[in-house]
Amino acid sequence: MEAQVRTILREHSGLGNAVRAIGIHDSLWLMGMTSAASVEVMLALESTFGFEFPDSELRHATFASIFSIVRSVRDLTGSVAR
Amino acid sequence: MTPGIALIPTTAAGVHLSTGGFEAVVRGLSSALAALAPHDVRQLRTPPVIAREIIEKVGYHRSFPHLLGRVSARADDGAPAESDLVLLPAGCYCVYPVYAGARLESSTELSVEATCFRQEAGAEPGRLRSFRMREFVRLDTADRCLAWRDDRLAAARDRLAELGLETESEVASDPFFGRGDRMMRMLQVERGLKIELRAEVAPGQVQAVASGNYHTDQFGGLFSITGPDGRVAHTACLAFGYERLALAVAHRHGADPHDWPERVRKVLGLEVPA
Repeated sequence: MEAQVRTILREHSGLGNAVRAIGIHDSLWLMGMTSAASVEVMLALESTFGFEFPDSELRHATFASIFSIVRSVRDLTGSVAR
Repeated sequence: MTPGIALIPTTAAGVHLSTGGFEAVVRGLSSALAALAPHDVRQLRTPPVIAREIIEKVGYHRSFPHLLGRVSARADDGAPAESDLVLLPAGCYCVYPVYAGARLESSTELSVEATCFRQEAGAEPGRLRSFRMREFVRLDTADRCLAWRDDRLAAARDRLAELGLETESEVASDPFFGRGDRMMRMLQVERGLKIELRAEVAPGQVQAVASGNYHTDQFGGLFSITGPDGRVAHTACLAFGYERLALAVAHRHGADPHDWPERVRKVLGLEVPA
């Protein structure tokens, strides 16, 4: 799942290829991801993994890092895939 | 003579004519609100249009395409075609290009009067498509922008109370377009970027009469503005809707300004009866 999330981030976060090198705990916000770009990431995650984020998960913390995104998607899809 | 203040509907929803009395109140509001800013603040009056490239640069056409009024005009052969202008949706968009590339040596504030247009879907009392606003704009460091917004909002609330308007202060969000709307609103509310003052403008009809917004460094970054601390400038604004405020005052005190409390007439600079 981390690889898929990285691909989505590379295409939609506005951070481009910089995503390849970032650690799973690095802050995407501090790297310059904008709110508008995070929405594109959210929509791509929903489309790729076939679920919908509840309002309670539409927070800065959810999209703060690769780690937080993977954890949230896994919780919401019930997936154990890595 | 009818001294009453009123907005007269036209055949176009959300587009009104205003009476002389209404305009006198708007002038009074303009002066009363302008006085919230330092007396030497830079004043600007905007035209009702803005370069389309500016609105596209700030992404308004993506975030709010449903509100944006586009201008169709062509000089060469008269055939309809999109022009290089759009209708101005808010005064502050005129300000940032003025400071493009600038390095600010100190906190910078402007007071802007603007004629605006938004293609509102509803037409309930106070929801106008064509309206006017006064907007204060601050370019500064992050901390000072936030403190300025909240201080000025508090001062504005006091000034509106002098007009008899008891406003509610609420964390709010913008009506973003499309599927991302839900998340944009949640993120905006989570960070408390937008605070509105709301008042009743008609029986049972509460509208935002003022809106304080902190934009982080979004506009400073887009227009390469350097703040007093040498970092990308942060910006904030506080906007007041003249028509909504005038409606709220009339709703509170009645349509005839002669019947209004003397202190309200005084704040608005209306002639006080002998």
